[in-house]
Amino acid sequence: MTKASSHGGARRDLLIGTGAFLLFALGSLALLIALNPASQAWFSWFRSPTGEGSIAITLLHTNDTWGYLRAIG
Amino acid sequence: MARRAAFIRFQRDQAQHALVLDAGNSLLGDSDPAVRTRARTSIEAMNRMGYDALALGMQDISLLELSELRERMAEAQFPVLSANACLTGTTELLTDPYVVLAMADHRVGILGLTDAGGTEEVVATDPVLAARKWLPRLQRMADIIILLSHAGLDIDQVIAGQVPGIDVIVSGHTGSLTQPIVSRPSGTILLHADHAVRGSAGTRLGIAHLSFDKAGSLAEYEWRKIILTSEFGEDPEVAAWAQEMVYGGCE
Repeated sequence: MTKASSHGGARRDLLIGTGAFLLFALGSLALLIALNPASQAWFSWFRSPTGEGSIAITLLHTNDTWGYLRAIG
Repeated sequence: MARRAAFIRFQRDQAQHALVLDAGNSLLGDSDPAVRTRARTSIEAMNRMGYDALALGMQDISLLELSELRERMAEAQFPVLSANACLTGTTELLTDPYVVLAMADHRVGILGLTDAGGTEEVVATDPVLAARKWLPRLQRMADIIILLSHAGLDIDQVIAGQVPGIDVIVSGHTGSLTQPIVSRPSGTILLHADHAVRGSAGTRLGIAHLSFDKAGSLAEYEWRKIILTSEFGEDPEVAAWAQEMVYGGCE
């Protein structure tokens, strides 16, 4: 084995080791975020919001009442 | 107002989910006690009736000093909205542009608009541009979208035609409807309950029964305008309070 090929092997091992560590760190971070209820709530604002069922709403509306307060009316 | 309070209370009790909204120019007009109290009684009345949101009209802004308006907004137990009322000479909004309310597992987004105009202290910019700017943002946060607008019915129809994704426009200011307008192709429905009539403002309100599907799309609706005649009962507590404010003085 030449000196050059020895250096190449060491560099490859270093890259593989660093890559494996980064993958592990990122995976762990993703898992922590995914399992954290607070982060789930935060990320839910980025999803297209939809409900799980239909909903009926009664909407009452006024306008231009001018602050009229008469007891009758 | 006591009739309105009783009607709102009854409908709230009957409803699975209820929203009570005001589309503006409801703080101050031509009569006491609102004029005398600088709209303090108007806010208290709406607090008592459990309003969920109000959009500012230009009259609400122009008839009050800015400091008075800020005091009234602080007293309100509901959000006071406008996406286009800015402090003059700045891009700073006077108040919140929208509110998102949770209802069951849906989110209802309500955007407020003011009719264009201004005072020395506050300027309301083009409501159509404000709707174009803010509604896409609101749509990322809510699946049911209501525009609470004092821009006027004509302008609200322009918005309904130009900005997709609005389920309902609750309109104020110019115009009044006996039937909802359905804007095509958006399918947005426009509702308008009243136009101010000197001496009888506040005697009309609109009631809509809205059904939304799982995705928050409006599936069915039914709307009618109510004129609060003497056939309607009064809320005794609110009637007593209003009687005191109108005839008993309020400083």
